[in-house]
Amino acid sequence: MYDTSEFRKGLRVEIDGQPYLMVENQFVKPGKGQAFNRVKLKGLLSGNVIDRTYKSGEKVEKADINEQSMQFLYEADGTYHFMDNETYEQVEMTKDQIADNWKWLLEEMAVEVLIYKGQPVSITVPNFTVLEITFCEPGMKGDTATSANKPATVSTGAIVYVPLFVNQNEKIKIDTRTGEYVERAKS
Amino acid sequence: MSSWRPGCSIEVLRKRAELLHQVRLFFRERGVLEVETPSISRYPTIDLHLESLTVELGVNAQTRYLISSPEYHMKRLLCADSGSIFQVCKAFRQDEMGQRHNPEFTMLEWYRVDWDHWGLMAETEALLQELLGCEKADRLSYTDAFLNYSHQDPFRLTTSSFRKCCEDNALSPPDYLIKAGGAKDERLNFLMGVLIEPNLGLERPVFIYDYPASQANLSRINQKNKLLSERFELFFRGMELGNGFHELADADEQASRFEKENRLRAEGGKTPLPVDRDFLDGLASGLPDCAGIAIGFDRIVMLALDKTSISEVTPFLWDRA
Repeated sequence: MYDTSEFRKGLRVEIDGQPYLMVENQFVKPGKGQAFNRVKLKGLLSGNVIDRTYKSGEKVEKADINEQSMQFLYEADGTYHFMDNETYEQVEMTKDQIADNWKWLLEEMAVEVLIYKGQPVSITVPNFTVLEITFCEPGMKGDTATSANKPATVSTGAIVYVPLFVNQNEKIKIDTRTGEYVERAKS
Repeated sequence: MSSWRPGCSIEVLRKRAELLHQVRLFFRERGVLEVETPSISRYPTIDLHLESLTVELGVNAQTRYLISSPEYHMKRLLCADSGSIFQVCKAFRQDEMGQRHNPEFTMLEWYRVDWDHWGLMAETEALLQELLGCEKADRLSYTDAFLNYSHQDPFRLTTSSFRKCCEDNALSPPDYLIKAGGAKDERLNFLMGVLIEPNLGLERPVFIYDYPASQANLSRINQKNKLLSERFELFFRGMELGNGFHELADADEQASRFEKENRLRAEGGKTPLPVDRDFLDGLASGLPDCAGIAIGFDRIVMLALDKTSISEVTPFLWDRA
């Protein structure tokens, strides 16, 4: 259990059977009154942010949740296989659990897998990745000034919008948090 | 690493020292005597919502307490005819830590003999103008503060109007406040802390006066309206700066308030605390008519330097202490 005096950003707690990340903690002490901790909690499974207020001295459960560095091995029939780098133990996840991250997953990629009560629940991929364009309309030479974009299919099958001057078979750097093109990768 | 280093710049400390100097000059010019009273006391402050830190001096020695304010000792001086007095000292409170709180902080406390709380508000206003270069302060009753910022009459707050108010303002009160029969003052304090305080004194300081008699603490009850106490608080830029009283002088009433606090503590699962007999004996021998106020000096420094966190004006906060 965590006591309110231990509250801080980044704490992982369990409320109503759900794991949450503490994203804000404000100590409030009205004049001669009871002190409170007002916290914002982000659902680690749902992503929803909730507000809670605790009286000083109240306790909340610790969440049995942690992140493990793993390597993406392969995908087969909608099941994604990962391997723990230290124990070589393998875990499987469904496409639902992978969510949008399938767009950036490359074999051997290092990812963070969130383990809740012993089960993998979600992954975080690196903020930036480099992927090869497997298909896009031909580039327009010299056109670096306009801000127009065109769709490009990358090796994972995801579609990324790229500037007109970018060509098929080129490698591009992508921000995985926004899914946006950053620049042509130096090869 | 660099954790030996102070958490604020030396420039901040220079300004802090300058403010402290100004405070001392202010009171010297007004003939208020500077005093020093103990940090370690034989008795704790008796308050439902304050926990004093304890000090153990030896295996068989009685537990002592770090003061949460110098109030009892300063009143013993007043009872001994000290006349008006002020003090700048450290005060200590368990479990109070946050953007505006450190378990150890600097308090400016003073008492004016033959003054009531209105006179003291005027002097506090003058001090603030001098230290912060701010405008004159507003004065707003506790009831009006609630009506303005929560649309609730604090004397008519019910379980359902409290719930509705929390809903309307997207507040998430702890469960024990929502339950029917929840203590009214606890609800009022919650609304004050999370909803009203952030709105107080945004342009200029504001005194909130006429606190409910149920929150009188060590202040007198208003003789014309027994629902009100002669307690006030000071706020500036959404932050509580201080708390003042037209001081309760009646030893018997003080004793029964201590008893009540201890009863509430016991009901809330907290340890009842030993009563300071010397303080009560002092009151019984006669506390002159006086008003007193305690101000968080660190917060004055924060305001003067436009800082939002106590960590920015304190060289060695809890983590570095």
